[in-house]
Amino acid sequence: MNEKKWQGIGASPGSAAGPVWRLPSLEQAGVQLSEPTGPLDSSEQLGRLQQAIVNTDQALAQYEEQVRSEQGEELAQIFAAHRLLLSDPAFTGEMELRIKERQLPAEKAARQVADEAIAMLSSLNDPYFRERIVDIQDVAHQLIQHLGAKNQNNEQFPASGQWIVVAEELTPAQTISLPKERVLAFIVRKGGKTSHAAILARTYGIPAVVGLNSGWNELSAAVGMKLDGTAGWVQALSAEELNHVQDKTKSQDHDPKQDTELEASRFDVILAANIGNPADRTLVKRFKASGVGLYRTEFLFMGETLPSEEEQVAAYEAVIRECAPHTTVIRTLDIGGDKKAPALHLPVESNPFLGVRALRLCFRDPELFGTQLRAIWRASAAGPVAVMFPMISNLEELRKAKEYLAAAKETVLQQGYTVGELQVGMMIEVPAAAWLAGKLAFEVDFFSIGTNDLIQYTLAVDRENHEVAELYQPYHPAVLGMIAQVTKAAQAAGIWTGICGEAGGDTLLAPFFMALGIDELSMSPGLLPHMRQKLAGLDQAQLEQSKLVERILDCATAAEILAILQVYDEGGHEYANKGS
Amino acid sequence: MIIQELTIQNKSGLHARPATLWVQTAGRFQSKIRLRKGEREIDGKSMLGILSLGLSAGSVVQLLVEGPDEAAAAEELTKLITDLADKGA
Repeated sequence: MNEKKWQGIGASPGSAAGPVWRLPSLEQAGVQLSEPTGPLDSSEQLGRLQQAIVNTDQALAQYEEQVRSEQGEELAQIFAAHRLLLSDPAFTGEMELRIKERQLPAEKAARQVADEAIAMLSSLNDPYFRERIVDIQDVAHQLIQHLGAKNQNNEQFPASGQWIVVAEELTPAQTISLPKERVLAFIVRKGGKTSHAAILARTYGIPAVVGLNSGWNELSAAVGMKLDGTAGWVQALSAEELNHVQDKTKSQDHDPKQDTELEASRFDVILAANIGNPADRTLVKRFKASGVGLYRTEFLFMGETLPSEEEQVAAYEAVIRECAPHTTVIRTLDIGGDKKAPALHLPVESNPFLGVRALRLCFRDPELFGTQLRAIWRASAAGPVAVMFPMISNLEELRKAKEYLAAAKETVLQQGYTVGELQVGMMIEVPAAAWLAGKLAFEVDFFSIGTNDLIQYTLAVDRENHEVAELYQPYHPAVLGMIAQVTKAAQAAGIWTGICGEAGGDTLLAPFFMALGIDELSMSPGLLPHMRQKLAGLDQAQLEQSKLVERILDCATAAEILAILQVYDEGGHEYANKGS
Repeated sequence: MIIQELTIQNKSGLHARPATLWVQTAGRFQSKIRLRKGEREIDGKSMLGILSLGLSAGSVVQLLVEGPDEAAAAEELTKLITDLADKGA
């Protein structure tokens, strides 16, 4: 193979090689609209449009629900916004008007209105508004598809085989509607590491390279490609090389022996999965997670009505049973902040991340909290389980939460249910809790460090605000220093420590966490294989010898820390490339 | 009919998420909601309409609400704009 490696941005780890399927760009698809041959019945056209709107909305509602349960409210909002467009008087309303007044075919009305909206947005100077063009394109495209317009390109994903999906840009709706088990990887020209498609790819454990501008034209004729989603490069494969790769993958595909070997790493660390939906429990087995390190329970509460105690028991038991003999760590309700729950009628706060969120909300609604805790106790009979409380900033809150837990146990026992063992832990995500870890450690069985919020609160950076995104640094010395301090406090008190934020699945940080003696790393299930590979290339004795912890804690900037961590990345890469 | 002046204060203006929030909030009310900026007047329940005004930080718009729940609608929407600013969104 002497083809050039084209450099993009590694957006989701893993390497892949295989045949290419090109997703038609949104502009290409759906523009070939046939001109009407005879007079049009506008009421018929109107009916077609309305049916397409209903169908599109149903599809979007399904995506919204799927994304909400798998990834939370933030990403689900994308689809909520798209649905708003579908009921927008200036969008679909205008399309209807044009069908009536100008006797246009439905497709043409849809395209016209969408094109005008796009032109209008392009004329605005503000980049924020121009970014919305993708949203308009996406919705218009789906609408036209549901109208059954003949596309220039055959848009269908092949009915069999595994493919590398290559696209100019990838919308959330497109990403989610692909059969993910048959997508080898994503290669996308536009977008960055934080684009919706990149986040979705990481969640599903599909390698991805995005932002691939260089080489785009040179690669346009390639029948096959090879890529590394960690390093971010892409290479063209000739037909012959492609055949070779496909023969080889057939024989090597998921060699169970290889997995076991990797599992028996030199580290005594539990690799667990983060899940947000009982349905995700299948991913736990598929990616061989040793239990669930973070079971987000919010999704249960985001519907129109609140879940009953029975419903919650079922949702918890299902996951606990699937994970046994490994432990399932259930996080109590972390709603409020940016996570909405219509059934709870929460007031809009001016600063929701610092407002009535998580445990603070639970204390205000003892029935809500009590119901969840009773359900957890009842489910505890089904297998090994732990509970943890989010957003604790002082010792009193922890004690109060434990009182609620004790009261719930008593009630459940009085009602005649049997209960099992229940480990009790807390999230460390507020800097105050990290500072106080030495005291808190004596009152819990474990700490779970929620790095996303810990970083956000420590660095005073809203991760959703693009303007300050570059200040959100997982490798910031203050953040890693805090994690080290918490771990030491836990070790002194004889309790275990887990990491369940995004940093938990960051292979770059793995050597640091291993050197610290972190007991559990919990991550999106799709990241587990890469973490295993990384750990297989590391050596505990060597980490200690090289005084990694001391050197990192000695750094003054995130860049210095990153430079040290990157040295440890080579072992992992070697492994990833072995099979190719 | 209630007419009120609103100043957009949050840094990135009334784009994507803030606009979604606005339309979701406006949609909960029966009253007719319109926004006027200079010559242009748009339907305050329309996402595209809102986006077309290109409201960025510092933009001043007139809010016109008319209907059975106009007082509540005006209050909620005004609050939304100040909340966005406080959040720094």
